[in-house]
Amino acid sequence: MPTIKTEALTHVYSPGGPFESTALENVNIEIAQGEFVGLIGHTGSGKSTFVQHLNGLLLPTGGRVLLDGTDLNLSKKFRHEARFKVGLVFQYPEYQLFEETVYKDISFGPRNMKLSKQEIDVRVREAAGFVGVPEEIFEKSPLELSGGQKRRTAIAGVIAMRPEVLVLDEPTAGLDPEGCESILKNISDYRKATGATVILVSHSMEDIARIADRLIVFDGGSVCMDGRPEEIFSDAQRLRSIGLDVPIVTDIAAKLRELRVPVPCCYTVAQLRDALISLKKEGAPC
Amino acid sequence: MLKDITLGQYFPGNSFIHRLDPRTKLVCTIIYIAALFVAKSYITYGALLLLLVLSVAVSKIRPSALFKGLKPLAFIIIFTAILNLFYIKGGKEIFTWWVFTLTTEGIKTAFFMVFRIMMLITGTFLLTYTTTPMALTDGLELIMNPLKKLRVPVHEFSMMMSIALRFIPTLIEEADKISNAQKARGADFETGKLTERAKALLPLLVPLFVSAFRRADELAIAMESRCYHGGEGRTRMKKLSMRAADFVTIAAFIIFLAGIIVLARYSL
Repeated sequence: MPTIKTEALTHVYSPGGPFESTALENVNIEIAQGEFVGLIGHTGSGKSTFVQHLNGLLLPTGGRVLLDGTDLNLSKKFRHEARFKVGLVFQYPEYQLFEETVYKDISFGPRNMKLSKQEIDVRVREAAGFVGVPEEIFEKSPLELSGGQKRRTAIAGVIAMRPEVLVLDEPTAGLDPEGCESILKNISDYRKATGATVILVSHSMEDIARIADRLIVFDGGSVCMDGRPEEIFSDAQRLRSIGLDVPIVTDIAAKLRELRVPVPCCYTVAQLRDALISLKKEGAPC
Repeated sequence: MLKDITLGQYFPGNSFIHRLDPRTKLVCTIIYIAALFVAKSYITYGALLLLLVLSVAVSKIRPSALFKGLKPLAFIIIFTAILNLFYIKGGKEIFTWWVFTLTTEGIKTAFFMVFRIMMLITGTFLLTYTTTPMALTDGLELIMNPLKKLRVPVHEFSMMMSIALRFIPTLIEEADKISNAQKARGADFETGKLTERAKALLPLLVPLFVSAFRRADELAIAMESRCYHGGEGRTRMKKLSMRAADFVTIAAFIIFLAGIIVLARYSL
């Protein structure tokens, strides 16, 4: 049974009103336990609307969303529980911090789960460890932290609920390359340690190519491509036609093929490097 | 819930009323309100109602939109009606029960009061529905300009008002975003006792205030880096100008008010 399944999911904003707009149309997706899915698409392609359906923040205007086989539309109580199972980290999550101390803020989710004090403490420390929030700043006000630390604290606040599915909407937006790198690594580590399903929304082809093992491309409110990164990136023309791009490395590999260097389709620097090294060993001219 | 707020909502259009200068509309609204408080009889109320209906018809605003605006005030209107019905004594007594006495005078006053409030609200709604918030603050600034002589910071007031109006939708959007983010962490804004619900608002209000202050800071820097230094010597991009139609409209409203005063004098 897939962890998340959508059946003909459709969402229309302010139906019947003068500002009616269809954000999602007939989306059918199955995501299995433990998958690492990258969602890509243009601004306004429906990605953010889609992820808000996964924990019942938005309810479909048509179709269904199933979490572990149960319809999220079932009851308010089930949706409340679903919020702990599907941890959603919004864009710029640092703007949601509100408690007096970092520790209290991270523990907000677990407290809402009505866990015991000891359990909350364990989870806060564990979550802080995953995203690299040092214990020295636990008693600081979140407002005193740097931008990167705020973002980490906010992500820890969601991870502390130990969600089975972690959904992140543009977690690296506005961070420097080093910050991006380390947050992406934290997310991978969390997945490795817990076996959680991760769904990552991103604009950066480079990032998503490197860590996701399945890509779903949204365009105009529906799924336009769904497959392994190499499948998706081998169709550069289609991606460009919907206003997206392929990683620079994929482009370089394609140019090399035009120059008759027999490299396969690559989407990470490491892949291209390995391909070139093995070619060199075989004594090919490159 | 937050999307339902229709504060200072503007209905785009190009009717005669839309094209009037905001100052004209402001002055006429004030004259109309003054006339409402002078009127005391069926004839004067009838004239006022006729004027309102005529204005709504000219503005091409759907009457349903105006009635929608009355809805949140239904409680106040009904409360006023009941208070007036039973506490105004005079005329013939119709019936008495415990402390309540219903008199013909009570019915008449309640009737007038309800109409007065409804017409007052509808009239002011017509102003905000046909005038953009920016035009309205510009108009207000120009009307209050003479107060500058008394060292009242008129420009600063109107600038504050336009900034406040400008940020209402932004803040509503922000509040929506934050409340979604907290709901995703299991916050519950909808159930529980009143005290619990008030406490549950904290995770929403703190980030909202923080971001409002941050925005204010950023806006101040952006304005100063474009050399904003208050109203002195500042020119406008869109100069408001009174046309013949504006003067005729104001004159008509003054004559109308005078007529109502005369009628009230002869207690008609």
